[in-house]
Amino acid sequence: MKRTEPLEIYQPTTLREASRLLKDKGAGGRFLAGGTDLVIAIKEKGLVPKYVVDLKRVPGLSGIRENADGSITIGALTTMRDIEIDSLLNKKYPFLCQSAAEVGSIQIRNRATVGGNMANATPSADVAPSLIALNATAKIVDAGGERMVALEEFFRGPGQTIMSPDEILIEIIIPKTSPQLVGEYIKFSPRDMMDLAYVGVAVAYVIAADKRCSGVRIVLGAVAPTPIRARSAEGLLEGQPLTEELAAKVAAVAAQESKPISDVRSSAEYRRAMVEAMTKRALLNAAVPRTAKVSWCDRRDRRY
Amino acid sequence: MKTKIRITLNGKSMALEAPNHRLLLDLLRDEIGLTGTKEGCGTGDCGACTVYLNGKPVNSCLVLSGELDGADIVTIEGLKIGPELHPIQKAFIQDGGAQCGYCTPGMLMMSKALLDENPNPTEEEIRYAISGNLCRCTGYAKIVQAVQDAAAELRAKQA
Amino acid sequence: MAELTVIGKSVTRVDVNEKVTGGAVYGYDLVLPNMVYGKTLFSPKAHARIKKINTEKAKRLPGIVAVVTGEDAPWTHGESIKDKPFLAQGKVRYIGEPVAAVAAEDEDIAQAAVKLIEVEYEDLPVYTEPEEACKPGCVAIHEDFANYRKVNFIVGSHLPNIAEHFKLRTGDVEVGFKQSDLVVDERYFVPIIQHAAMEPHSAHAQFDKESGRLTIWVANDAPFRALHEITEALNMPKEKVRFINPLQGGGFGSKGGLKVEPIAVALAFHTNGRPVRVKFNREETFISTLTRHEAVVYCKSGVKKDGTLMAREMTIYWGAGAYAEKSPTVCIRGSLPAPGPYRIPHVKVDGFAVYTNKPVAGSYRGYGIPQGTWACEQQMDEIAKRLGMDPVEIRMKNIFVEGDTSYWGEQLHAVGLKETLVKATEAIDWGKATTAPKPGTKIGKGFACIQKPTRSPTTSNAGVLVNAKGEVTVLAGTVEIGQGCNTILSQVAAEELKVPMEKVFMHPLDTDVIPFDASTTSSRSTYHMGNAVRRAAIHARRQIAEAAGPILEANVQDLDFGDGKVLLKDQPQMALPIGEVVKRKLGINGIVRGDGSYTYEIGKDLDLETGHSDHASAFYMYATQAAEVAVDEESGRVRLLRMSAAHDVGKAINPLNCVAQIEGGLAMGIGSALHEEMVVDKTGKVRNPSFLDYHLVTSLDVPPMIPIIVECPEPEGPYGAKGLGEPGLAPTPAAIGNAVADALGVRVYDLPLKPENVYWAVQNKKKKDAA
Repeated sequence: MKRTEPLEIYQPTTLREASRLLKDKGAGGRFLAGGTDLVIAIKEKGLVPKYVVDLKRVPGLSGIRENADGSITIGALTTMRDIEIDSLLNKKYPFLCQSAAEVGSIQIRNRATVGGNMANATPSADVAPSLIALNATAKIVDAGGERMVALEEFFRGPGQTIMSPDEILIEIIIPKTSPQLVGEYIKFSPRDMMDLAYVGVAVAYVIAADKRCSGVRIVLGAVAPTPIRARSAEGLLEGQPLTEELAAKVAAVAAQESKPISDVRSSAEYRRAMVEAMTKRALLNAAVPRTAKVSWCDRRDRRY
Repeated sequence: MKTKIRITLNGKSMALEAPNHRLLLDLLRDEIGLTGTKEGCGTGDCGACTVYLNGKPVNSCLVLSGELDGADIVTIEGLKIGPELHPIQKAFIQDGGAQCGYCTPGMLMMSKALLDENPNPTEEEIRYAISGNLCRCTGYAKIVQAVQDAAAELRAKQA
Repeated sequence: MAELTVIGKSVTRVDVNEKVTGGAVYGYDLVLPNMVYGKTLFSPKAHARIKKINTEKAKRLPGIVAVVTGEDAPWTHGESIKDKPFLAQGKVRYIGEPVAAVAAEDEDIAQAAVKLIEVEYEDLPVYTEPEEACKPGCVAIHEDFANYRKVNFIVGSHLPNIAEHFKLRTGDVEVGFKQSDLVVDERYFVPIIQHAAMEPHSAHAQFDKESGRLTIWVANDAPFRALHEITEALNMPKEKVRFINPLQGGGFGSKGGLKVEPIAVALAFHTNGRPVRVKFNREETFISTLTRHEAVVYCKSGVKKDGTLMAREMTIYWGAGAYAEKSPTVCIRGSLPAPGPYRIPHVKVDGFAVYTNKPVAGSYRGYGIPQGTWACEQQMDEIAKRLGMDPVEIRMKNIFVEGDTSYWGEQLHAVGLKETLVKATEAIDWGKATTAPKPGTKIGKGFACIQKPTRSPTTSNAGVLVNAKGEVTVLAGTVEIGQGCNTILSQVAAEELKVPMEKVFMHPLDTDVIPFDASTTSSRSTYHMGNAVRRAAIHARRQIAEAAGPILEANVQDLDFGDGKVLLKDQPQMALPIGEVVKRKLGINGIVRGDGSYTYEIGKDLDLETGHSDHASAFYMYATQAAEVAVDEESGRVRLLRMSAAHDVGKAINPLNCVAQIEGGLAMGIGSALHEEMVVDKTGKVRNPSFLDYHLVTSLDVPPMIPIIVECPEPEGPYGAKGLGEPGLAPTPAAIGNAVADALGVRVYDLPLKPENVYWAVQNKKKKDAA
């Protein structure tokens, strides 16, 4: 990366210091977590930050823990790789671990953090739809205090969140869920690895013994300026027993609710068709308990 | 803006000054002179620049020098065990895992990281581990073979 | 003849140690003393006149050593057509064309200076489609085309923007179609793709005023071609220019001719003797070096109902991009065999290399064969389907066999095609249903056959030196691009001199030292340089035998070579190490030098009106690849279950190395079949110049591969060897396309077979069936 303007990097050791820096140093600063998005933005997208505040020396910002009330807290600086292989998350929400595994390569996942990923607000992000499907909340702090924002409300547009420049996302909290909660994330893209999602579908619902679904959440990625819930589609399934026929109907509605664009990767029509195909699959896959470990190469083609 | 950083590089302590924006990849290649780590894309898509940063394989093209104070870095030049080649290096030679060789340093770093963690990987686990390393010459078959053979040799040494 | 000792053995590559330790120095790694750093300004316009360039601000930046534009570098270069300026002169012809360059004390300053250069452009019409750019009335992208220096086999056209018109005429296709029971007429499309070698492009240059010598360090696959091109451009004598090759990190055809070199050279004239390094990053490598030709292929075939081919008519538009580069020869070499490896009495092919305002297309592994094959091999399957014949059966009916005269008038020998067809299809259990489809997927099998020529005639020269220690040094201009030539050529020298491989060294490539070699392209090196090295080694051996005779008190014909020694045939214990012979004859610093040269016999050049020649190629490589696929009907996603690749190599000098080429080529072919395309929009801008959106296959995308070596010896080849560098990727897209068509009952005509393209093919068929 070539630049003649000096780049200042600060490495605060407290959150207060970190937030203060952004306030005091003024506009043009950026927080640095894993760097996999920020460095690319500087190299490829013409971003010229005046200074960078590295959050990695602030203790307590990474880690995954189950709280007494059954909720799970994921520190914002937890890497995607750590989420991918975490035993607690793999037991409770394997599809969340799967979404983390879809991000780039192992080398990227060793640096990319969940907080950095949320703050970067890419429409095609893989982890956000799964977290929204789990009704996750973001804990945001600044020098003045803290606030909680539902992740569903966190994103405003491509690259834009509801945070102001000096606010820091420090935790993602997944509320306690029913033991009968199931979910699935399907990333649709041409290759088996290394692509951005052309379409991302995360589903989560509680399934009763009689197959009735409740608490249905269907979250679509890469087909709108932010991850979106397909609420009408959800409503069709809510309270109903899951059948292949109903899943197909629900998926068709989800496709209608998506707002895909045509770009160098795909046409809008194709994306819409894949929303329909993948939503149906995700809903039906989720209901099938994963016994053996799913082969990586099969996960996109896996059919209930 | 230059920062004084102290790093451990391939087991040796080093103090140096580098502009904050200097990428670790360029620091290694241009300032320190270790050109074994390669630039393939500069955007984290090919894995040719893989090094270990604090024990984990990362793309060095996406790491800023300004955050490296205190870091432990291992590059391909540090893979050998003393004067001997590491079994993974020997396996690449024996099995034809390197053709033009440009992706090879990154491949070796990822392969060794895999074997350190998982001494008995399946073929799929090997392919998964190196899926962030692009190779345009080999079609990956002989690379996978080499990792399997190195794994067997390492397991035999342990036994 | 004694048994072969090292030929035919899978010896370990000789030069891999540096590669696994990080010690190998590639062009991109090279650092020279007192070096300055070059950066380039590229055109943002696809077709425009340059009205003004202002470099004042850039020149004034502290740390800037030189700033150059086309005015400072008023030279053009080119192989077939001398049409390409070192830096844009007067106009720009594609987005990404180098317009100006700077050299500075460090890269940060150089990059900042590039941003300060101001250029004013005046837009001209932009042509991005090869079929459109040659329609009457189009503005000429090269107004001065008529005055360019061209080689004598260029055939022009009255239509605009045509760099080359290739014609093949055999019989009368109208007669052939009249005699046919079935006529099939289709249009196929192959998009632009990228070589994407893992090492991006770079070049170093230094000009010494005192001696007038220009030295260029570059990982170039044809340094003697580059030498010729640059001396012609600069009007400098050959002795004044020297090319030195650092190691090359892949190329696949993208690192030949002049790419970054002209920029480095233009700067080097202004840096007071300091060497200049110019590196292209990945995006610049994507756009401003080389691409593979897009092609629109019209293919019309007539057959009898028993499957006998009667006629084939093809029109191919090759998108040359903004400059001619290798387009004329790709057009010729790709159009000539495009009708496929078949006996066809009536053939008509018109190939047009058309200038467009897009990145420059040129030599790419396969040299036009993949594009023709995509069309012709799928049409063969289409014909088979309509006649109710098995695709294997229709091939068997028509494929070339030993002794056939091809439709361009050449009698073919060493035709291993049938064996490749049998073995490749057997390997995937052709004719049997072997995989139960998972819900929602359909299984299919398909294959494709190819024949690939090599550029002819060409020359390779070699030297083999033997010193008093018995060490053998080979002087050969073949460039190690990852294909393993250092090892193969060492094997040849080791075989002829009967020395262990450890005693053979390949001399680094330096045009001051190494004798002329045409190029490391076109799969030609094993054959041509193999022959040259073999002759040189035999020459050295003869001299050693003649020196040993008196010492061992024997006649030369009673001597043999074995295990690094000269020995008496009937008393093998009477032996002398060959180094010892050299020492006794010439002293401890003496060197025996053998020289060898090989040029394929010059036959009739291709007739410019008919395309015929009785010796169009030194040898032909044959191959068949077969694929089994599972296609997800809903999404169009193609999963390869397995692929076989049977290649006729003549003789496998190093079987492991042959497998390496087959597997690597196959993976590259899979990429071009399923994923790869450079997306260029209507303004001429490349929309996906990065590995994020230009999809190479990863380790997870490659299926189990079944490489099969077939040996149909080539009498003129070293030990019977042909070549193998290119065919690995040529049949792949058509094989997979045929498998997909078999699975879905629907054919995809436009590459790549990415999910969306397959999806639309299925949807369109559903619509047609419903209507």
